[in-house]
Amino acid sequence: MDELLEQFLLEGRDLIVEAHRALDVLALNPGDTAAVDSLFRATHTLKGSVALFDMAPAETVLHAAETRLVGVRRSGMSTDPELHAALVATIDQVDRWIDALEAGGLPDGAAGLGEQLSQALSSAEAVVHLPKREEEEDPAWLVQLRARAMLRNRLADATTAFRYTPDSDCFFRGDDPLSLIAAVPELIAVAIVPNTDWPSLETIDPFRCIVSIDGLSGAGIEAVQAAFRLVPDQIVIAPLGSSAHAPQRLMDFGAETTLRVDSNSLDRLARQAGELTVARSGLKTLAARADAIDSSLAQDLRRAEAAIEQASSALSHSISAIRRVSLAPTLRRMPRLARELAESLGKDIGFSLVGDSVRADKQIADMLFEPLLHLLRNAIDHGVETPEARIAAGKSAKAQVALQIAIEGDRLIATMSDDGRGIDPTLVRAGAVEKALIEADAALTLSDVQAQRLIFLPGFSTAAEVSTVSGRGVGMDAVLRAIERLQGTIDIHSEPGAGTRFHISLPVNAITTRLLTVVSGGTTYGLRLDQIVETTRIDADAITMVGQGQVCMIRDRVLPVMDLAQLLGQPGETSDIARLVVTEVTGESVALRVRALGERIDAMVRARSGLLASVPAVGGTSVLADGSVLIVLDLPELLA
Amino acid sequence: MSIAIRDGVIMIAGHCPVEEAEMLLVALLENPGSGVDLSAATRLHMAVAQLLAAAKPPVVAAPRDAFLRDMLLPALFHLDQ
Repeated sequence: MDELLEQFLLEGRDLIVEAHRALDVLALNPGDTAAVDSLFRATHTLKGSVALFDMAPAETVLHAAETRLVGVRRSGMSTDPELHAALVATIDQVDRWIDALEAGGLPDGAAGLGEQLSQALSSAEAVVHLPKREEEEDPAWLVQLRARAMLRNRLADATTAFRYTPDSDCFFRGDDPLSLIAAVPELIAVAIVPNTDWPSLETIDPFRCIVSIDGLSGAGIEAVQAAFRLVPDQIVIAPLGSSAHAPQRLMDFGAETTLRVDSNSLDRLARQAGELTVARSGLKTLAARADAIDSSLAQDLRRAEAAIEQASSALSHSISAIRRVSLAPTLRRMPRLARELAESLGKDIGFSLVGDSVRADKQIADMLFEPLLHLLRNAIDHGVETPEARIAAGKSAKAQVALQIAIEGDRLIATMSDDGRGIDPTLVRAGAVEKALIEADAALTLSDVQAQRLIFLPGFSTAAEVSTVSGRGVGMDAVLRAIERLQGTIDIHSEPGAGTRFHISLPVNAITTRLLTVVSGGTTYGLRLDQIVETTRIDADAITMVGQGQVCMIRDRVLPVMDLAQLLGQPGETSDIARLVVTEVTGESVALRVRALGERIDAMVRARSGLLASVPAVGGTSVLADGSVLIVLDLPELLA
Repeated sequence: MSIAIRDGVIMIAGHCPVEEAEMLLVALLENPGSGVDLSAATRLHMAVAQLLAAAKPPVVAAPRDAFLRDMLLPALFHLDQ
C-alpha cells in the first residue's frame, strides 16, 4: 500500500477516536471547553489530511464542522443536542469514508451525502450561551519570567517561554545544560538565575548545577519542546501571547517521543525472543551431557544458562510491554456500529464503552474485535427487546448495552451487558433439543447455567434464527472458539427478563505458550499444554474396538481413543506400546494416540496466516530453535 | 589549556569543558577583583558559566562567539537576580 495512505489510515483513525472521545465528553457536558478544543483540533487535522486524498466530500463536511466549532469556541457557547448529533453523524461518516478509501475509494453518492451532512451541520440550531471561559492564570514561574529585566522587553517578539531547571547533579551525568540552551531554535534571550541565593565563591561546589535558565524563543512550542526532549522532567514550557493557553509540560508531549513501528517487525522481534528462549533450553541438555564428562564444566554451563535465562526473560518482558497496545483503535468502531445496528433494527439503545484505553497484547487487541462485535450484535439483535415490548414489560423504552474493559492482575476482563430479555434456560433447552444438539433427557439434567451455555454449541444459532444483522453464518460457537483461541474463557450471567452479561477473561500477555511436542505419522506437532490433562503409555492390546471407534481404560475410566495421524489423514500407529495424550477440550475426555511424546517447550505461537489459514485444526505455528516450523494443532477444532 | 592568568587577567579561551570549572574557581579565588578575557572563548560548559555568574568579575574582553556574546554574556552579568 502507498506509504502516505497507510500513514493516513493510521492517523486518520486515531483522530476519529480523539473526536469521538471529545464528543462523548460533550454529550455529558456540552460546555466542556477542553472537549470542544480537542474536537476542533481533531476535525481541523482530519480536514488537512483528507485533502491529500480523493475524499472531497469528507473535506466538505469537515470544513462545515470546523466552521461550526470555531463559532462555538469563539463565543464560549456549548453544543446543543442537534449540533451534537450532526457532529457525531459527520465523524461517523468520515470514519466510514476512511474505511471505504482503504477498500478502494469513496462510494457513489458520497458527494450528495456530504452536502446533506454539511447542511445539517450549518442549520443545526445554535447553541446555548455559557459563561465565558475563565482566563487561566499564568503559573508562578511564568509570572517571574515575564518580570525578568533580561526578558521583559523581548516578550513581544517571543512565541514560547521556558524554564529549564537542570538536576543539581546533571554535570556528573555528562550533561551540559548550556549546550542544550544553545540548541534552542530562534532563541531570543535567556536569564540565568540561581535556585537559591548565589553562594560565596568560598563555599560554592563547582560541580553541582545551582541555576535555572529562563528563556524566550521565537519558535513554536513544539520546536522548543523538541530541543528539550531529553530532559522532559526538568523543563516547563508555555506558549506566549494568549494567556488562555495553559502551559504545557513536555511530559504531556508523549506523542513526539513515540515511534510507529511496523507491527510485523515487532512480531519478528517477539518471535526471535521466543527462539532465544528455546535455544536457551538447548544449553540445559548440553549441561546434562557435559555432566558425564566434566562436572565443573557442566556447572559453568548451567550458570551461563541461568544468566541467559535471566536476560532472555527480561527481554521477553520488555517485548510484552511494547506489544501491549491500547484497545482504543480496535474498539473505536463499536459505538458507531451500535448506533447503526440499533437504527436498522428499530431499537432504541444507549451504548456505553468503558475502559477502551486499557492496554493488552497486540494479538489480543487484534483478535478481540470480532467476538466482541458478535456479542454486541447478539445483544442488540436478540438480547434487547423492541421499545414497545420494553414498555409493555415495564422497562424504559431505551435499552442499555454496555461494554466494559478492565485489567485484573494479568487478565483482561471484558464484560458485555444488556438490560434486555435475558436468556431463558427453558427456551434454550427446547431449542437445543429441537435442533438435535442434545438429547431431551440430557437437557433436563442440565442446570440453568449449563443450559444457557448451550447457546455456544455449533449449530445452535441456525440460519432461520440468524437475522441479516447477526448473520454472516457465525454463531455463538464462533465467539467461544475465538475466545478459546486466545486462551480465554467466557461466562454467561443472565436473568430472564432483566438482562444478560457475558464475562470474558483473557490473558493480557500472550507471548509464549507452553507446548508439548508430539510425533505423529512422522511429523512433529505442538499441542498446547493447557489443553492436555495427562500423557500416558499403555499396551496397544488394551485398546479395543467398540462399534466404529476405539476405547481404552485409563484410571478406571473408559476413554475414546483417536489416532492423531488418522485425524490428519495419515495411516494410524501400529506399535505395541500406545502413547496417549488425554485432553478434555471438547468437554469429554479423549485419548489421542501419537507415535512419540516429545518435550515441553515455551514457544511463541503465531496465529495461522497465509496458506495455513485455510487449514482446519491448525492453531498456529511456532519457530523452533533449529529454524524449523512447528505446527501447533488446535485440539478443539480437530476433535469437533 | 584554556584557562590561564596573564597580566592579572583571567584568560578563558577555546572550549572549556566541565573539568575546568575547578581551575576557574581556583583562579577566581586566588585573584580576587581581576578581570576576565573571554575574547577567545568558543564554548563554555554550564559549570564554568555559573561560576562567572556567581563571581561576576569585570569583563575585559567580550567573546567573539555569537551565542556567548549575545545570549550568555548578558544573562551572566545582568543584575537580574
